[in-house]
Amino acid sequence: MPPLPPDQNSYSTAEVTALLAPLLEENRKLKLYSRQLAQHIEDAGGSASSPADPPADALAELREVSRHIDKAINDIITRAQKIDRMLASYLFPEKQKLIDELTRIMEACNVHDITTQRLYKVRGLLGDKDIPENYKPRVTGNATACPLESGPQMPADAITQAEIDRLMQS
Amino acid sequence: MKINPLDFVLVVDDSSSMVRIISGIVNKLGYKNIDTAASGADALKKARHTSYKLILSDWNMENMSGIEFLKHIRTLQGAPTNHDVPFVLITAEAKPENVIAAKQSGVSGYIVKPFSADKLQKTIEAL
Repeated sequence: MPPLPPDQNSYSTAEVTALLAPLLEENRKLKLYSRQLAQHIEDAGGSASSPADPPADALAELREVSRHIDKAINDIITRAQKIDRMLASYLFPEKQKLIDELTRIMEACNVHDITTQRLYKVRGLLGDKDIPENYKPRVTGNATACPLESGPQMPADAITQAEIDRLMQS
Repeated sequence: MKINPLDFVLVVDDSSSMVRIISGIVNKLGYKNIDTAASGADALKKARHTSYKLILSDWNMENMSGIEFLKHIRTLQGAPTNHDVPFVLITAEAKPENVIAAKQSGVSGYIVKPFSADKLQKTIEAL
């Protein structure tokens, strides 16, 4: 900042404008460059507001989800099997009903496998390398990729057990 | 298929919780000798040394898929004779082409996940 003129206490408006002109010009250029960069990113298929690196926070959250679900399901299975063993020592009218309920609990737990596979697919799409190879996104043209192995389908794309049974019998 | 408690069954799945669930259901059906494996490759090693009466396998696994394991089993030579063992795929793969490919590879039963204990029992009994 140039020193104040010795015989003045302040700059005139014209002098201030002249001093600020280069800064204003640089600011204008920066705004233009920002707009051009945002347009370039969008043209390349990205988003001007998205991070350039894989969403590390999202992957960390998903890994924690997988870990906690895995632990919870295995705990449930352990306790259900423990109750089942304890029931073997008893004889009472409702015993079979309780055993049947334990079987329902085990059946409910098997959805964990589907959930785990879907989470692997999401993590693979987000660039997570810490998942089984067979869940990583397949590279187009990869001759070793098996198109039959795609994990759980969306309900609209999957056939039912009844349809599978008919195919097996045909 | 008549269940003999002394028969050996092989349960193959890379999910430890699925192995526990399937083994538990199979145990309740009456089987007491249940081997497990976490990949097709591990399962194949076991099948070369043990004669199984039933194999229940996942499809989508690292280190040899269930269908690759099935194809190897069907061409297994020598003792123990597992090449014609009843083989049921228990899998999340639910497209018609999956079922057709499995049939062509010699699968005996195909159950889609999530499954019920009742479905597994009926499938085994029908083998």
